[in-house]
Amino acid sequence: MTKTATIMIDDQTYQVPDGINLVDAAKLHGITIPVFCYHPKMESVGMCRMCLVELGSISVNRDTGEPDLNDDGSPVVRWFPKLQTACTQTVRDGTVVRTSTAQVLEARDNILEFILTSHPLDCPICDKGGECPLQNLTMAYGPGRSNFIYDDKLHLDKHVPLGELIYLDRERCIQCARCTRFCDELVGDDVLAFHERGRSLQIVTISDPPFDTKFSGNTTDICPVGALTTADFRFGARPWELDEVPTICPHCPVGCNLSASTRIDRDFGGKKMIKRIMPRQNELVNEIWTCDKGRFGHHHSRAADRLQHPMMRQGGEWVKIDWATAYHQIASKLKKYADSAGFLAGPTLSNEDLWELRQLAELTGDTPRLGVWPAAMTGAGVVAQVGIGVNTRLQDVGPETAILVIASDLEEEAPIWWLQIKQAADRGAAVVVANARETKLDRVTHTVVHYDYGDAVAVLNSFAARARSRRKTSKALLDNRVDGYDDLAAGLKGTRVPFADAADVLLDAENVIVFAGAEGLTLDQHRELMQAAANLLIITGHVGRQNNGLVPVWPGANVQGALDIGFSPETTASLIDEPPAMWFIGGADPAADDSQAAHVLANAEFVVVGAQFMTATAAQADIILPRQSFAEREGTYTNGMRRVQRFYAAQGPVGDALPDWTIYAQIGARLKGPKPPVSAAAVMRAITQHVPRYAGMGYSSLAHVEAQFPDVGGDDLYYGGTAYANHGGLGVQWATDAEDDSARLVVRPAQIEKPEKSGDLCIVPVRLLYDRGPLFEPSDIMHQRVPEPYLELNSQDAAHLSIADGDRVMVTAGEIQIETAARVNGHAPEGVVLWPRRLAHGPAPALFSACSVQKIEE
Amino acid sequence: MNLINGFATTIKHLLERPVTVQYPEQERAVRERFKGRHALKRYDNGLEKCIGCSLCAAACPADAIWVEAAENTDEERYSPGERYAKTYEINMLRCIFCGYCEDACPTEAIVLEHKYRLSFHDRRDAIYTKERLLDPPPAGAPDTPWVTEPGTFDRAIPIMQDPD
Amino acid sequence: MGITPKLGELGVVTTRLEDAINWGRTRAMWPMLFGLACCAIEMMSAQAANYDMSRFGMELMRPSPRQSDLMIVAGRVTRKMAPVLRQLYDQMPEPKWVVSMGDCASCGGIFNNYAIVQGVDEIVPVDVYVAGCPPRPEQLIHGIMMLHERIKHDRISDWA
Repeated sequence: MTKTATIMIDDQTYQVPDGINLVDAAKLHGITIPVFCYHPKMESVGMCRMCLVELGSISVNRDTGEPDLNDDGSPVVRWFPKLQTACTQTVRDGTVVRTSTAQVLEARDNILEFILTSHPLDCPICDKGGECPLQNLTMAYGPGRSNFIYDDKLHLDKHVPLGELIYLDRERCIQCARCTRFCDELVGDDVLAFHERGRSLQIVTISDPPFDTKFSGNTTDICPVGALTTADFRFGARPWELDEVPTICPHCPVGCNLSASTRIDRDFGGKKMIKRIMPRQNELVNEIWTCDKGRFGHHHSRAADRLQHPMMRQGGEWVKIDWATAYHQIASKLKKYADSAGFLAGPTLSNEDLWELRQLAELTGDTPRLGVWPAAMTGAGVVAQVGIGVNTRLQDVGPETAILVIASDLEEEAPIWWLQIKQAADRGAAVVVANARETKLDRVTHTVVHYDYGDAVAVLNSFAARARSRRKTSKALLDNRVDGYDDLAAGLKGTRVPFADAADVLLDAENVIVFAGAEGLTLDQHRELMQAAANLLIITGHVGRQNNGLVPVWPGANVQGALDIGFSPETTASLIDEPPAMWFIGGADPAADDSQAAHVLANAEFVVVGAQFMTATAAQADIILPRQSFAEREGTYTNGMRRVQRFYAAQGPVGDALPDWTIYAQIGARLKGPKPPVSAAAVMRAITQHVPRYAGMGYSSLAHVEAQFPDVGGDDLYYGGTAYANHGGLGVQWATDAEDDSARLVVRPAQIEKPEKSGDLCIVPVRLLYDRGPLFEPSDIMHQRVPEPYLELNSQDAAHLSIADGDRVMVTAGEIQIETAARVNGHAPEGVVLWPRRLAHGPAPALFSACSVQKIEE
Repeated sequence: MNLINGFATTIKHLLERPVTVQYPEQERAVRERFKGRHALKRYDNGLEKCIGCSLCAAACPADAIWVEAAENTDEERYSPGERYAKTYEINMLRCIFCGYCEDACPTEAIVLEHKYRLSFHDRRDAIYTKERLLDPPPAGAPDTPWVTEPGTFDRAIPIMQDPD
Repeated sequence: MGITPKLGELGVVTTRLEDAINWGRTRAMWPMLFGLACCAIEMMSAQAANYDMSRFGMELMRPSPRQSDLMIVAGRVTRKMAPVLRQLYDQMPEPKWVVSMGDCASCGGIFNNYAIVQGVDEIVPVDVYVAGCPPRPEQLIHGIMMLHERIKHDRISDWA
């Protein structure tokens, strides 16, 4: 329980948490102190002076500790002689403020008049007009007229690009420094700065390429005026015309809560279309931020090349068919290949789709083969045991917590988690980064473990061994709830501990969170990595509690959901090794990712693909089913922290595309299955009845919203920018076994199988945030951010091959041959070529496959 | 007697000029403040006054106005400043000719004029597009879009004069 | 048209018959008043001395559908009134026309709500829509003139 302080605001007494900011304290009780520069997520600077209040403190007798009293019994208040900025004050017992006296009102009036001396009155064309803090506060507190001469207004440049995503209107800037502070303090990217002084003060970008951060869009949200606007939305619509539809980002496992601002539009045939994406507040997930991929990567939902109709291959040609024919054809093929059908679910299928796909698969046989794609990561059982504790708030994590990030380049794979870990590190959390190469997260911590590719499991085992040798194991847990500890202990005996410092950082912390990726790991190794992480967490007792546990950095938005509903990456692997005669693929594109999968699909007898685009996989199909994107339909995604979150239909339909669950249920009905459900909500109800962990997660409970702090949206939208208040639901996180005191936890030794590296140079595919995947490529606005295809070489290897940074090279790995640029920047370990997935079209070579790199002479 | 009084009135009126206006041959002038069909105005130099701010659409009580804005460039300039109306439509069958749009317009671009012959066989014809609403350029002025020198028309709202 | 080549001069007569009938129809088009709201005031005004629609042979505003040719729907049609309106329309003898006078009758106007029919063309075929809120009498007359123009071009072959 935090200490409370008793303060007086406007002669009323309130209890607030001790030591919080005065503006926040007032806000907690619904009292508005207007601000421009202060932001509850950032340090206060007191630059704008909008929050001036009368401040004082209750005089206390030093001898008795009792407040001095006036003759009438009221306490004596010692007032500051002048007005003080509320945002730079923290509250303590006896703080007294007055927020609405004549003096304060006059000060606000004057400050606004002053700010408006150099602010243009072009609200009619300003994108912020209508949701502008300056507009609102001027209406509420400002002067009706100005003493200054209008003609003297400063006229500055109006269309200054800060990179290709964000435009700056210099004369609208009121120099609150929210944007520069966001980049410096929160993100830590040195990209924006103030230049010059006084009236010449201006925001400039100091990075090359300009405004080079993955979070640039957030600055436009927190800008209290229309100085920063996005190229995506520029003049797209007026804010009051927009319908806000709650949605969930389909790009990564963070599951950012987003708000799709929609409006009907001529460019989209008069249907509702997404004009912009804004973050939606969920303090347990993305707070009020989102990355640029989530914000600007929504164009795929209305791309011109979306598949519009079901199609069938007839004699090498695609023939448009109607849905009934498609259902009938597929049903008859499923009957024919009943025992030899493989089902593959992609990472953007919603839980409803996955459930109906499973129902369909179960109509074909008792043990259908249900695979999930990408099949890079596994560990459903481990997550179910030791997944991160319910109601973990990364934004509260402080010095008592250690965070281990292993085998993941988090900024590329889950940017918001990266941002939150970076801030946790700033608050004093111990961050341990373990990877085979340098990643951007390395810069937030001193504890960096660079192992050789293939040694990730060994590193975790050594941490566990260190825990045993330092007697940091949790006796209570091991004695009562853990199975298999003796085997594990025997296995750990004599393990060398090469990174003892890093191990100690983890072992000395009160809470431990592990983020586990799969970079440089095969599926089998990843299973062991997850087990090793679970072992470490269980024996040290960091499970089943808030701010403790394991977070897998899944390779997609709803891989967790797929695992929960019974799809598994191991099945995918077996499907590729022992291919079925018929493939039924929903929302996955294995042919573009994996050459072996492409080969297997080409030889299959019958392939059904549900896709949004004519992907490499769809091109090999016999029947293509156009599926709806996340924007057009309802559904739920389960994020990497097991939070089931609901998204709503935001956009008008495209062609004949249908949501996947409808398609699967309709086919099922033709296989003597049950009558198709009428709505996504009905499917979710079935899930809640049959999947125990999803019990009670009906659509209404997923839509439940509680008041969150800071308060965003509403009339006082100055507070936290224009990020939208959450009306769509906070989602529900399912509890792990560890949280149930009676459940047994299982540990077992994690096998260290270092894979054979073949050849002098071998390939490690890595994930990039900005890639050429089918869901991101249609966003033209981001094209400049997607790098040209490249691969990274170690400087030693490069010197050996006489390749310099930027040279064109020809890379050959087995059947795959590609011409690309070489980067030699010291990130790649020796003997390894880093191959960013989906940067060049075509599949990436398998992990650790040998390759040869040859310089192409100009 | 009453009968005579009654006929007297009738006979009196027989001698008066009829009040009937022979519409359509003869039109009665409308009042100066009559609000009829809208027109989108231009500046004297020929640039469009409308900046696509949608305030008219926001003010419209009947939701009769639809505006979609886009960005001016120096290569393709329709109006001063950064923004112009790419689409501007008024559904005359929805419009109640209240003139709120005129009041809301920050650039005095939309004006309700005196034309009132607005009957349609088809409801779709009642949607007046920007081409139908926009006044032709003044004599000698070029039609939009223009190619302009950078920095010449960088302000959307005419610079305000001091109120006093 | 089919008999024209065979009967020679009759072709000229056919055209005249069309014209004569159309002339008759336009010159004695008896309107059925359907004043539902404010537009009705302007409709009355159009009938009164200043505008005097009887100049066009529209002597009588009849409340009786069986003697009417033209239904002028003047005002907002509520969902409750809609079946009545349709019944009256059905009772009118062919040929019959409908003028939707004013915004509310044409598309609901500002009353975009559940109680108002969003355009009387949802229930009866409308020949002319007259914009205005309410339209001036001139606008109504202009609408009727447009209807006359259309009727003048009707052809026998189009008659049902």
